[in-house]
Amino acid sequence: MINRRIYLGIPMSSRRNRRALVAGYWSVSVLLLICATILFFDDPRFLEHWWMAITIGLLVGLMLCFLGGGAQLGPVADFDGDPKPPPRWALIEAADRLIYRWKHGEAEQPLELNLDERDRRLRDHAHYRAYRILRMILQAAIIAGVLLFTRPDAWTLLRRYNFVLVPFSFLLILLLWNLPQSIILWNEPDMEEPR
Amino acid sequence: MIADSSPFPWFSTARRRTRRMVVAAYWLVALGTFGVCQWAEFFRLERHSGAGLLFPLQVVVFLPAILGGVRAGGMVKPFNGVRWVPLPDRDYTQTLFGPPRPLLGSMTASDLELDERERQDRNRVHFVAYTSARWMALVLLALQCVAGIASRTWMINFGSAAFFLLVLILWSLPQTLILWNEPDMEQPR
Repeated sequence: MINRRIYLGIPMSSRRNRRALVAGYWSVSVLLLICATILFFDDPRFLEHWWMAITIGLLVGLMLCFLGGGAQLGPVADFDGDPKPPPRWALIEAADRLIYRWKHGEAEQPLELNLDERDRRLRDHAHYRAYRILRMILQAAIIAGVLLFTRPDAWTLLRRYNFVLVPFSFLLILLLWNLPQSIILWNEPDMEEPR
Repeated sequence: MIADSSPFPWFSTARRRTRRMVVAAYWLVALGTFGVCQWAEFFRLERHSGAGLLFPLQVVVFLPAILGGVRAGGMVKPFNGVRWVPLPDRDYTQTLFGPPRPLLGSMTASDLELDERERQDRNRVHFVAYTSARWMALVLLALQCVAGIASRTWMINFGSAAFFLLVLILWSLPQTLILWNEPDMEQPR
């Protein structure tokens, strides 16, 4: 299910490294989200500035592609089993090939990009687990919503703090796009190092 | 994947009838939600209480209960199997009129645990459901951003509706896919 030997210069053959990558990714994402909430999201008109809209769009795009799962861009293989190699504009891929050549003194042999039966099972099971986790999070959100609505000033509070909706949606999108990949990266056993 | 002790045995034997039931359930949910929103608007309930929230909550809880999957007792077998049953054997309960109704004890052994093929089906269906929810959530977020630029009030209203839709999909899409795709069962003679 892992289609890179090296990603961002980090060897992906070791489970420890992959877990560090996942933990780092989620920490940075949540931190960015908190910062954005504090700085911008209390005024939804911040998107009217074109440079802000483009920056946020690029950042969200990067966050969604970072762990892979689509178009062979990240360390997790394309979920649909598309055997096409990564696109030419994927600079990280080219840089990783250079790093591999520098470290091992030979060109990297491409890994099998097709998903076999075991990979498909792993992918489906990761999605099942991700779905369950997400459902629990939404359940907690519903309970919080019900508790909020027991207050007489619920609607006033909701109107005052409606900016929470946007980061919450971002968090949901983040989970929906990255949770299965994270589960796969977290649980895949170590690969054999090429000699 | 469909429970042997389904609460609606007539619907669960033929694929055509199961599909009709799924479509009817979703139409009921859509019309009911719309009706309750109109009702809450008419009586200006949002100014006084969270009564308008009660119906969507009921939908989120009861639709998966009817379709099954999340808990035992629905049309689809429970996804995690049943590990604990309060009255395991014949849990007849005392009723005032008519014969006693069997509850969990009437579940057959095949309803309590999924076999290998059913596990694969369950995981596969969750993959499809998750992928659909993922794209839909992205579209909803984009719409919410557009609505947010247009007007803050719109963002509040649209955000709540989008959130509700997402919750509904996450809770009942796998069950719907199973009910939609499972082939016809043999009729008991």
